[in-house]
Amino acid sequence: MLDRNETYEKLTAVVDHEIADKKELADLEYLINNDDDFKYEYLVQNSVKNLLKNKSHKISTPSIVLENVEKSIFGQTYQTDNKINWLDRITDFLFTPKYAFGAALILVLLIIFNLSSNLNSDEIFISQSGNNNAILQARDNYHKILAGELGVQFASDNPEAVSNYFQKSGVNYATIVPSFPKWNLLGGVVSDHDGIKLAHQAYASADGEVLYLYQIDQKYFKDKTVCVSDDMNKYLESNLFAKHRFEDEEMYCWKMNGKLFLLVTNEDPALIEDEFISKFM
Amino acid sequence: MTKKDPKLSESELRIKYKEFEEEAVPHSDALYNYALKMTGSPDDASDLVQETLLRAFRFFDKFEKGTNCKAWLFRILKNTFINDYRKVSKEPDKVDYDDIQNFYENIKSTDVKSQHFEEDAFSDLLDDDISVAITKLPEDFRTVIILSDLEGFTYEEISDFVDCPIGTVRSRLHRARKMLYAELYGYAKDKGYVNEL
Repeated sequence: MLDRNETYEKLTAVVDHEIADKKELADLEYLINNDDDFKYEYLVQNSVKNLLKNKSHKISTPSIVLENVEKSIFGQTYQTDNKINWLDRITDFLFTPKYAFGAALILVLLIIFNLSSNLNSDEIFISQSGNNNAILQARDNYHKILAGELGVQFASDNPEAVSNYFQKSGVNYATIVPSFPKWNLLGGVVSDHDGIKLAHQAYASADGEVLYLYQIDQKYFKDKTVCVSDDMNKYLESNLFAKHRFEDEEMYCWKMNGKLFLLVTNEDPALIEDEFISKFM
Repeated sequence: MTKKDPKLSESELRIKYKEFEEEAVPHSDALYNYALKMTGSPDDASDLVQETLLRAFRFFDKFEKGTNCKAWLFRILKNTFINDYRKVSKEPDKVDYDDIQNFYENIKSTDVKSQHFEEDAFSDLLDDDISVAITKLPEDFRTVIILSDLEGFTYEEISDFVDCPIGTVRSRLHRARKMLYAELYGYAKDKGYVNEL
Protein backbone atom coordinates (compact mmCIF):
# COMPACT_ATOMS: atom_id res chain seq x y z
CA MET A 1 0.00 0.00 0.00
CA LEU A 2 1.48 3.35 -1.03
CA ASP A 3 1.40 6.24 1.39
CA ARG A 4 -0.21 9.50 0.34
CA ASN A 5 3.00 11.21 -0.76
CA GLU A 6 4.02 8.25 -2.88
CA THR A 7 0.60 8.31 -4.51
CA TYR A 8 1.01 12.03 -5.23
CA GLU A 9 4.24 11.18 -7.04
CA LYS A 10 2.41 8.53 -9.05
CA LEU A 11 0.11 11.29 -10.29
CA THR A 12 3.15 12.88 -11.88
CA ALA A 13 3.61 9.69 -13.86
CA VAL A 14 -0.05 9.83 -14.90
CA VAL A 15 0.52 13.35 -16.29
CA ASP A 16 3.56 12.07 -18.18
CA HIS A 17 1.80 8.96 -19.52
CA GLU A 18 4.36 6.81 -17.74
CA ILE A 19 1.95 4.40 -16.04
CA ALA A 20 1.92 1.23 -18.12
CA ASP A 21 -0.29 -0.88 -15.85
CA LYS A 22 -3.92 -0.26 -16.87
CA LYS A 23 -5.37 -1.19 -13.50
CA GLU A 24 -2.98 1.10 -11.66
CA LEU A 25 -3.83 3.89 -14.06
CA ALA A 26 -7.56 3.34 -13.53
CA ASP A 27 -7.07 3.41 -9.73
CA LEU A 28 -5.15 6.66 -9.93
CA GLU A 29 -7.71 8.23 -12.24
CA TYR A 30 -10.41 7.24 -9.77
CA LEU A 31 -8.52 9.08 -7.03
CA ILE A 32 -8.13 12.16 -9.22
CA ASN A 33 -11.85 12.24 -9.90
CA ASN A 34 -12.99 11.55 -6.35
CA ASP A 35 -10.55 13.18 -3.97
CA ASP A 36 -9.92 16.94 -3.95
CA ASP A 37 -6.38 16.57 -2.66
CA PHE A 38 -5.36 14.20 -5.42
CA LYS A 39 -7.23 16.23 -7.99
CA TYR A 40 -5.33 19.36 -6.94
CA GLU A 41 -1.95 17.62 -7.10
CA TYR A 42 -2.80 16.30 -10.53
CA LEU A 43 -3.90 19.74 -11.78
CA VAL A 44 -0.72 21.37 -10.49
CA GLN A 45 1.48 18.81 -12.20
CA ASN A 46 -0.51 19.02 -15.40
CA SER A 47 -0.67 22.80 -15.53
CA VAL A 48 3.07 23.24 -14.97
CA LYS A 49 3.85 20.70 -17.65
CA ASN A 50 1.51 22.40 -20.14
CA LEU A 51 2.78 25.83 -19.20
CA LEU A 52 6.38 24.87 -19.91
CA LYS A 53 5.43 23.14 -23.11
CA ASN A 54 3.43 26.07 -24.43
CA LYS A 55 5.01 29.18 -23.00
CA SER A 56 8.71 28.53 -22.79
CA HIS A 57 9.97 29.65 -26.18
CA LYS A 58 12.87 27.92 -27.86
CA ILE A 59 15.91 29.97 -28.72
CA SER A 60 18.00 29.06 -31.75
CA THR A 61 21.66 28.29 -31.27
CA PRO A 62 23.66 31.41 -32.20
CA SER A 63 25.00 30.83 -35.70
CA ILE A 64 28.52 31.69 -34.52
CA VAL A 65 28.52 28.52 -32.39
CA LEU A 66 27.95 26.24 -35.37
CA GLU A 67 30.37 28.25 -37.49
CA ASN A 68 33.05 27.88 -34.84
CA VAL A 69 32.46 24.14 -34.63
CA GLU A 70 32.87 23.76 -38.37
CA LYS A 71 35.94 25.98 -38.40
CA SER A 72 37.54 24.05 -35.56
CA ILE A 73 36.97 20.75 -37.30
CA PHE A 74 38.22 21.81 -40.70
CA GLY A 75 40.84 24.20 -39.37
CA GLN A 76 42.82 21.11 -38.42
CA THR A 77 42.85 19.94 -42.01
CA TYR A 78 43.87 23.29 -43.41
CA GLN A 79 46.64 23.42 -40.91
CA THR A 80 47.79 19.99 -42.04
CA ASP A 81 47.70 21.11 -45.67
CA ASN A 82 49.79 24.15 -44.82
CA LYS A 83 52.35 21.95 -43.13
CA ILE A 84 52.59 19.81 -46.23
CA ASN A 85 53.18 22.91 -48.35
CA TRP A 86 55.94 24.04 -46.07
CA LEU A 87 57.53 20.59 -46.20
CA ASP A 88 57.40 20.72 -50.01
CA ARG A 89 59.12 24.09 -49.99
CA ILE A 90 61.83 22.92 -47.61
CA THR A 91 62.41 19.79 -49.70
CA ASP A 92 62.76 21.89 -52.88
CA PHE A 93 65.24 24.11 -51.11
CA LEU A 94 67.30 21.23 -49.71
CA PHE A 95 67.65 19.50 -53.05
CA THR A 96 69.08 22.54 -54.84
CA PRO A 97 72.67 21.43 -55.84
CA LYS A 98 74.49 24.35 -54.25
CA TYR A 99 72.93 23.52 -50.88
CA ALA A 100 73.59 19.75 -51.17
CA PHE A 101 76.14 19.49 -48.32
CA GLY A 102 74.05 21.56 -45.97
CA ALA A 103 71.01 19.55 -46.97
CA ALA A 104 72.72 16.26 -46.11
CA LEU A 105 73.72 17.64 -42.71
CA ILE A 106 70.20 18.92 -41.98
CA LEU A 107 68.69 15.59 -43.04
CA VAL A 108 70.97 13.70 -40.63
CA LEU A 109 69.98 16.08 -37.83
CA LEU A 110 66.30 15.72 -38.71
CA ILE A 111 66.59 11.91 -38.63
CA ILE A 112 68.32 12.01 -35.23
CA PHE A 113 65.73 14.45 -33.93
CA ASN A 114 62.93 12.31 -35.27
CA LEU A 115 64.29 9.14 -33.70
CA SER A 116 64.68 10.77 -30.33
CA SER A 117 61.44 12.69 -30.16
CA ASN A 118 58.85 10.98 -32.31
CA LEU A 119 58.47 7.77 -30.36
CA ASN A 120 55.30 5.73 -30.77
CA SER A 121 53.02 5.21 -27.81
CA ASP A 122 54.35 1.69 -27.06
CA GLU A 123 57.90 3.02 -26.83
CA ILE A 124 56.71 5.88 -24.64
CA PHE A 125 54.98 3.53 -22.21
CA ILE A 126 58.07 1.34 -21.91
CA SER A 127 60.37 4.33 -21.36
CA GLN A 128 58.62 5.61 -18.20
CA SER A 129 60.70 5.63 -15.03
CA GLY A 130 60.90 7.06 -11.49
CA ASN A 131 59.01 6.57 -8.22
CA ASN A 132 56.78 9.55 -8.94
CA ASN A 133 55.85 8.25 -12.37
CA ALA A 134 52.05 7.97 -12.60
CA ILE A 135 52.11 5.18 -15.16
CA LEU A 136 54.32 2.98 -13.01
CA GLN A 137 52.25 3.82 -9.95
CA ALA A 138 49.05 2.90 -11.79
CA ARG A 139 50.40 -0.48 -12.90
CA ASP A 140 51.71 -1.20 -9.43
CA ASN A 141 48.35 -0.31 -7.84
CA TYR A 142 46.50 -2.46 -10.34
CA HIS A 143 48.71 -5.48 -9.54
CA LYS A 144 48.17 -4.89 -5.83
CA ILE A 145 44.39 -4.81 -6.35
CA LEU A 146 44.49 -8.12 -8.22
CA ALA A 147 46.73 -9.65 -5.53
CA GLY A 148 44.31 -8.50 -2.83
CA GLU A 149 46.98 -6.25 -1.28
CA LEU A 150 45.10 -3.04 -2.04
CA GLY A 151 41.38 -2.68 -1.32
CA VAL A 152 39.06 0.28 -1.65
CA GLN A 153 39.06 2.65 1.34
CA PHE A 154 35.50 3.70 0.62
CA ALA A 155 33.28 0.95 -0.79
CA SER A 156 30.24 2.21 -2.65
CA ASP A 157 28.58 1.77 -6.01
CA ASN A 158 27.19 5.29 -5.79
CA PRO A 159 29.27 7.65 -8.00
CA GLU A 160 28.16 10.72 -6.07
CA ALA A 161 29.15 9.16 -2.75
CA VAL A 162 32.58 8.20 -4.09
CA SER A 163 33.05 11.65 -5.53
CA ASN A 164 32.09 13.19 -2.18
CA TYR A 165 34.53 10.86 -0.43
CA PHE A 166 37.33 12.14 -2.66
CA GLN A 167 36.52 15.75 -1.82
CA LYS A 168 36.12 15.09 1.90
CA SER A 169 39.42 13.21 1.96
CA GLY A 170 41.30 16.23 0.66
CA VAL A 171 41.40 15.65 -3.09
CA ASN A 172 41.73 19.21 -4.29
CA TYR A 173 40.38 18.93 -7.84
CA ALA A 174 37.11 17.99 -9.53
CA THR A 175 36.96 14.25 -10.06
CA ILE A 176 34.88 12.30 -12.54
CA VAL A 177 33.17 9.18 -11.25
CA PRO A 178 30.76 7.88 -13.87
CA SER A 179 28.62 4.77 -13.63
CA PHE A 180 28.37 2.16 -16.36
CA PRO A 181 25.85 -0.56 -17.14
CA LYS A 182 28.61 -3.09 -17.81
CA TRP A 183 30.82 -2.41 -14.83
CA ASN A 184 30.01 -1.95 -11.18
CA LEU A 185 31.70 0.80 -9.25
CA LEU A 186 33.56 -0.80 -6.35
CA GLY A 187 34.62 2.38 -4.57
CA GLY A 188 37.48 4.81 -4.18
CA VAL A 189 40.92 5.24 -2.69
CA VAL A 190 42.71 8.47 -1.84
CA SER A 191 46.50 8.27 -1.83
CA ASP A 192 48.81 10.70 -0.07
CA HIS A 193 51.89 12.09 -1.84
CA ASP A 194 53.63 14.36 0.67
CA GLY A 195 50.30 15.85 1.64
CA ILE A 196 48.88 15.94 -1.89
CA LYS A 197 45.80 13.74 -2.13
CA LEU A 198 45.10 11.90 -5.35
CA ALA A 199 41.97 9.99 -6.41
CA HIS A 200 41.69 6.38 -7.54
CA GLN A 201 38.59 4.36 -8.28
CA ALA A 202 37.88 0.79 -9.34
CA TYR A 203 35.17 -1.00 -11.26
CA ALA A 204 34.50 -4.67 -11.95
CA SER A 205 32.44 -6.52 -14.52
CA ALA A 206 30.12 -9.42 -13.76
CA ASP A 207 32.88 -11.67 -15.16
CA GLY A 208 35.40 -10.31 -12.70
CA GLU A 209 37.36 -8.07 -15.06
CA VAL A 210 38.84 -5.23 -13.05
CA LEU A 211 39.12 -1.62 -14.20
CA TYR A 212 41.38 0.59 -12.12
CA LEU A 213 41.34 4.34 -12.80
CA TYR A 214 43.77 6.91 -11.50
CA GLN A 215 42.98 10.59 -12.10
CA ILE A 216 45.44 13.39 -11.46
CA ASP A 217 45.19 17.13 -11.88
CA GLN A 218 48.04 18.33 -14.07
CA LYS A 219 48.85 21.13 -11.63
CA TYR A 220 50.78 18.50 -9.68
CA PHE A 221 53.06 17.85 -12.65
CA LYS A 222 54.77 21.22 -12.16
CA ASP A 223 56.49 20.31 -8.93
CA LYS A 224 56.83 16.65 -9.98
CA THR A 225 54.65 15.40 -7.12
CA VAL A 226 53.61 12.93 -9.75
CA CYS A 227 54.36 12.97 -13.46
CA VAL A 228 54.67 11.20 -16.75
CA SER A 229 57.51 11.69 -19.23
CA ASP A 230 57.57 14.73 -21.54
CA ASP A 231 57.14 12.37 -24.50
CA MET A 232 53.92 11.05 -23.03
CA ASN A 233 52.69 14.57 -22.32
CA LYS A 234 53.37 15.60 -25.90
CA TYR A 235 51.80 12.45 -27.28
CA LEU A 236 48.61 13.02 -25.32
CA GLU A 237 48.41 16.63 -26.48
CA SER A 238 47.93 15.49 -30.07
CA ASN A 239 46.15 12.15 -29.67
CA LEU A 240 42.86 11.16 -28.12
CA PHE A 241 44.53 8.60 -25.90
CA ALA A 242 47.59 6.38 -25.65
CA LYS A 243 47.41 2.68 -25.01
CA HIS A 244 49.82 -0.13 -24.45
CA ARG A 245 49.48 -3.85 -23.88
CA PHE A 246 51.65 -5.00 -21.01
CA GLU A 247 51.99 -8.73 -20.34
CA ASP A 248 48.64 -9.28 -18.69
CA GLU A 249 46.89 -5.97 -18.83
CA GLU A 250 46.12 -3.04 -21.05
CA MET A 251 46.88 0.53 -20.03
CA TYR A 252 45.22 3.65 -21.40
CA CYS A 253 46.10 7.28 -20.76
CA TRP A 254 44.21 10.37 -21.83
CA LYS A 255 43.96 13.99 -20.87
CA MET A 256 40.78 15.91 -20.35
CA ASN A 257 40.05 19.26 -18.73
CA GLY A 258 43.49 19.63 -17.21
CA LYS A 259 43.52 16.14 -15.77
CA LEU A 260 45.40 13.01 -16.66
CA PHE A 261 43.49 9.73 -16.55
CA LEU A 262 45.23 6.37 -16.36
CA LEU A 263 43.22 3.21 -16.73
CA VAL A 264 44.64 -0.29 -16.19
CA THR A 265 42.47 -3.28 -16.95
CA ASN A 266 42.18 -6.77 -18.34
CA GLU A 267 38.81 -5.96 -19.93
CA ASP A 268 38.19 -6.26 -23.69
CA PRO A 269 39.92 -3.24 -25.34
CA ALA A 270 37.04 -2.64 -27.78
CA LEU A 271 34.61 -2.32 -24.88
CA ILE A 272 36.95 -0.02 -23.02
CA GLU A 273 37.37 2.36 -25.93
CA ASP A 274 33.69 2.36 -26.91
CA GLU A 275 32.02 2.40 -23.54
CA PHE A 276 34.47 3.52 -20.89
CA ILE A 277 36.82 6.13 -22.28
CA SER A 278 34.15 7.74 -24.44
CA LYS A 279 32.20 8.57 -21.28
CA PHE A 280 35.03 10.86 -20.18
CA MET A 281 35.23 12.85 -23.40
CA MET B 1 39.42 22.42 -28.97
CA THR B 2 39.45 19.47 -31.33
CA LYS B 3 42.42 17.22 -31.51
CA LYS B 4 43.72 16.16 -34.87
CA ASP B 5 42.69 12.68 -35.94
CA PRO B 6 45.71 11.62 -37.98
CA LYS B 7 43.83 8.72 -39.56
CA LEU B 8 41.36 10.90 -41.49
CA SER B 9 42.09 12.48 -44.84
CA GLU B 10 40.29 15.69 -45.68
CA SER B 11 37.71 13.88 -47.83
CA GLU B 12 37.06 11.36 -45.03
CA LEU B 13 36.73 14.24 -42.60
CA ARG B 14 34.15 15.88 -44.88
CA ILE B 15 32.14 12.65 -45.09
CA LYS B 16 32.25 12.32 -41.30
CA TYR B 17 31.18 15.94 -40.90
CA LYS B 18 28.29 15.51 -43.35
CA GLU B 19 26.95 12.60 -41.31
CA PHE B 20 27.48 14.58 -38.14
CA GLU B 21 25.69 17.56 -39.64
CA GLU B 22 22.69 15.40 -40.52
CA GLU B 23 22.51 13.42 -37.32
CA ALA B 24 23.80 15.63 -34.51
CA VAL B 25 23.63 19.28 -35.54
CA PRO B 26 19.79 19.32 -35.71
CA HIS B 27 19.81 18.82 -31.93
CA SER B 28 21.95 21.89 -31.34
CA ASP B 29 18.96 24.11 -30.48
CA ALA B 30 17.81 21.64 -27.83
CA LEU B 31 21.35 21.55 -26.45
CA TYR B 32 21.56 25.34 -26.44
CA ASN B 33 18.24 25.81 -24.66
CA TYR B 34 19.20 23.24 -22.05
CA ALA B 35 22.63 24.83 -21.62
CA LEU B 36 21.06 28.25 -21.29
CA LYS B 37 18.80 27.09 -18.49
CA MET B 38 21.62 25.24 -16.75
CA THR B 39 24.19 28.04 -16.91
CA GLY B 40 21.87 31.07 -16.94
CA SER B 41 24.27 32.81 -19.32
CA PRO B 42 24.11 33.01 -23.15
CA ASP B 43 27.91 33.17 -23.37
CA ASP B 44 28.43 30.12 -21.16
CA ALA B 45 25.67 28.28 -23.02
CA SER B 46 27.35 29.02 -26.36
CA ASP B 47 30.72 27.81 -25.08
CA LEU B 48 29.15 24.73 -23.57
CA VAL B 49 27.33 23.78 -26.77
CA GLN B 50 30.39 24.45 -28.89
CA GLU B 51 32.55 22.24 -26.67
CA THR B 52 29.84 19.56 -26.61
CA LEU B 53 29.56 19.44 -30.39
CA LEU B 54 33.33 19.30 -30.83
CA ARG B 55 33.61 16.42 -28.38
CA ALA B 56 30.68 14.68 -30.02
CA PHE B 57 32.36 15.03 -33.40
CA ARG B 58 35.59 13.53 -32.09
CA PHE B 59 33.69 10.52 -30.86
CA PHE B 60 31.08 10.38 -33.57
CA ASP B 61 32.41 7.09 -34.91
CA LYS B 62 31.65 5.62 -31.47
CA PHE B 63 28.02 6.71 -31.70
CA GLU B 64 25.83 3.77 -32.64
CA LYS B 65 23.76 4.83 -35.64
CA GLY B 66 20.05 4.40 -35.16
CA THR B 67 20.21 4.93 -31.39
CA ASN B 68 19.11 8.09 -29.64
CA CYS B 69 21.53 10.77 -30.83
CA LYS B 70 19.84 13.51 -28.81
CA ALA B 71 20.26 11.55 -25.58
CA TRP B 72 23.89 10.83 -26.48
CA LEU B 73 24.59 14.53 -27.11
CA PHE B 74 22.90 15.51 -23.86
CA ARG B 75 25.13 13.07 -21.97
CA ILE B 76 28.22 14.67 -23.50
CA LEU B 77 26.85 18.11 -22.63
CA LYS B 78 26.20 17.01 -19.06
CA ASN B 79 29.76 15.73 -18.64
CA THR B 80 31.15 18.91 -20.17
CA PHE B 81 28.97 21.01 -17.89
CA ILE B 82 30.06 19.10 -14.79
CA ASN B 83 33.73 19.17 -15.72
CA ASP B 84 34.13 22.64 -17.14
CA TYR B 85 31.37 24.91 -15.99
CA ARG B 86 29.66 23.90 -12.78
CA LYS B 87 32.80 24.13 -10.72
CA VAL B 88 33.65 27.64 -11.90
CA SER B 89 30.26 29.24 -12.38
CA LYS B 90 28.62 31.08 -9.57
CA GLU B 91 25.23 29.55 -8.94
CA PRO B 92 22.37 32.02 -8.58
CA ASP B 93 20.38 31.93 -5.33
CA LYS B 94 18.32 28.78 -5.28
CA VAL B 95 14.91 28.20 -3.80
CA ASP B 96 14.82 25.87 -0.83
CA TYR B 97 12.49 22.89 -1.18
CA ASP B 98 11.32 22.89 2.45
CA ASP B 99 10.53 26.61 2.38
CA ILE B 100 8.65 26.39 -0.84
CA GLN B 101 6.86 23.23 0.25
CA ASN B 102 5.26 25.22 3.10
CA PHE B 103 4.21 27.94 0.71
CA TYR B 104 2.83 25.33 -1.68
CA GLU B 105 0.83 23.66 1.10
CA ASN B 106 -0.68 27.05 2.00
CA ILE B 107 -1.81 27.68 -1.54
CA LYS B 108 -3.13 24.15 -1.81
CA SER B 109 -5.04 24.28 1.44
CA THR B 110 -6.79 27.51 0.45
CA ASP B 111 -7.53 26.35 -3.07
CA VAL B 112 -8.81 22.93 -2.08
CA LYS B 113 -11.07 24.41 0.59
CA SER B 114 -12.50 26.92 -1.86
CA GLN B 115 -12.70 24.32 -4.64
CA HIS B 116 -10.69 26.72 -6.74
CA PHE B 117 -7.69 26.16 -8.95
CA GLU B 118 -5.88 29.06 -10.57
CA GLU B 119 -5.82 27.38 -13.91
CA ASP B 120 -5.36 30.52 -15.97
CA ALA B 121 -3.35 32.47 -13.45
CA PHE B 122 -0.09 31.85 -15.25
CA SER B 123 -1.23 32.56 -18.76
CA ASP B 124 -0.17 36.20 -18.51
CA LEU B 125 3.27 35.42 -17.15
CA LEU B 126 6.13 36.21 -19.49
CA ASP B 127 8.48 33.60 -20.91
CA ASP B 128 11.23 35.34 -18.98
CA ASP B 129 9.39 34.83 -15.68
CA ILE B 130 9.25 31.14 -16.42
CA SER B 131 12.91 30.98 -17.44
CA VAL B 132 14.00 32.77 -14.27
CA ALA B 133 11.88 30.46 -12.13
CA ILE B 134 13.42 27.40 -13.78
CA THR B 135 16.94 28.77 -13.32
CA LYS B 136 16.26 29.20 -9.60
CA LEU B 137 15.46 25.53 -9.10
CA PRO B 138 18.23 23.43 -7.55
CA GLU B 139 20.23 21.67 -10.26
CA ASP B 140 18.84 18.14 -9.76
CA PHE B 141 15.28 19.39 -10.05
CA ARG B 142 16.04 21.80 -12.87
CA THR B 143 17.62 19.01 -14.92
CA VAL B 144 14.64 16.67 -14.77
CA ILE B 145 12.02 19.30 -15.45
CA ILE B 146 13.86 20.67 -18.48
CA LEU B 147 14.47 17.22 -19.90
CA SER B 148 10.90 16.11 -19.33
CA ASP B 149 8.77 19.16 -19.99
CA LEU B 150 10.87 21.13 -22.44
CA GLU B 151 12.76 18.40 -24.26
CA GLY B 152 10.26 15.57 -24.11
CA PHE B 153 12.60 12.91 -22.71
CA THR B 154 10.96 9.79 -21.23
CA TYR B 155 11.58 8.79 -17.61
CA GLU B 156 13.87 6.03 -18.83
CA GLU B 157 15.97 8.45 -20.88
CA ILE B 158 16.16 10.90 -17.98
CA SER B 159 17.08 8.07 -15.63
CA ASP B 160 19.94 7.12 -17.92
CA PHE B 161 21.01 10.74 -18.19
CA VAL B 162 21.08 11.49 -14.46
CA ASP B 163 22.21 7.99 -13.42
CA CYS B 164 19.28 7.55 -11.03
CA PRO B 165 16.44 5.04 -10.79
CA ILE B 166 13.20 5.93 -12.55
CA GLY B 167 11.47 6.33 -9.15
CA THR B 168 13.95 9.07 -8.25
CA VAL B 169 13.34 10.81 -11.56
CA ARG B 170 9.58 10.75 -10.93
CA SER B 171 10.01 12.04 -7.40
CA ARG B 172 12.31 14.88 -8.48
CA LEU B 173 9.98 15.81 -11.29
CA HIS B 174 7.02 15.85 -8.92
CA ARG B 175 8.84 18.14 -6.51
CA ALA B 176 10.28 20.29 -9.28
CA ARG B 177 6.82 21.02 -10.67
CA LYS B 178 5.51 21.85 -7.23
CA MET B 179 8.42 24.20 -6.59
CA LEU B 180 7.93 25.83 -9.94
CA TYR B 181 4.20 26.14 -9.36
CA ALA B 182 4.74 27.85 -6.01
CA GLU B 183 7.41 30.12 -7.46
CA LEU B 184 5.25 31.12 -10.42
CA TYR B 185 2.24 31.55 -8.16
CA GLY B 186 4.31 34.09 -6.24
CA TYR B 187 5.13 35.97 -9.46
CA ALA B 188 1.50 35.86 -10.58
CA LYS B 189 0.33 37.13 -7.21
CA ASP B 190 2.83 40.01 -7.30
CA LYS B 191 1.50 40.99 -10.71
CA GLY B 192 -2.11 40.78 -9.58
CA TYR B 193 -3.03 37.78 -11.71
CA VAL B 194 -4.25 35.76 -8.71
CA ASN B 195 -6.20 36.69 -5.62
CA GLU B 196 -4.38 37.20 -2.32
CA LEU B 197 -4.29 34.14 -0.07
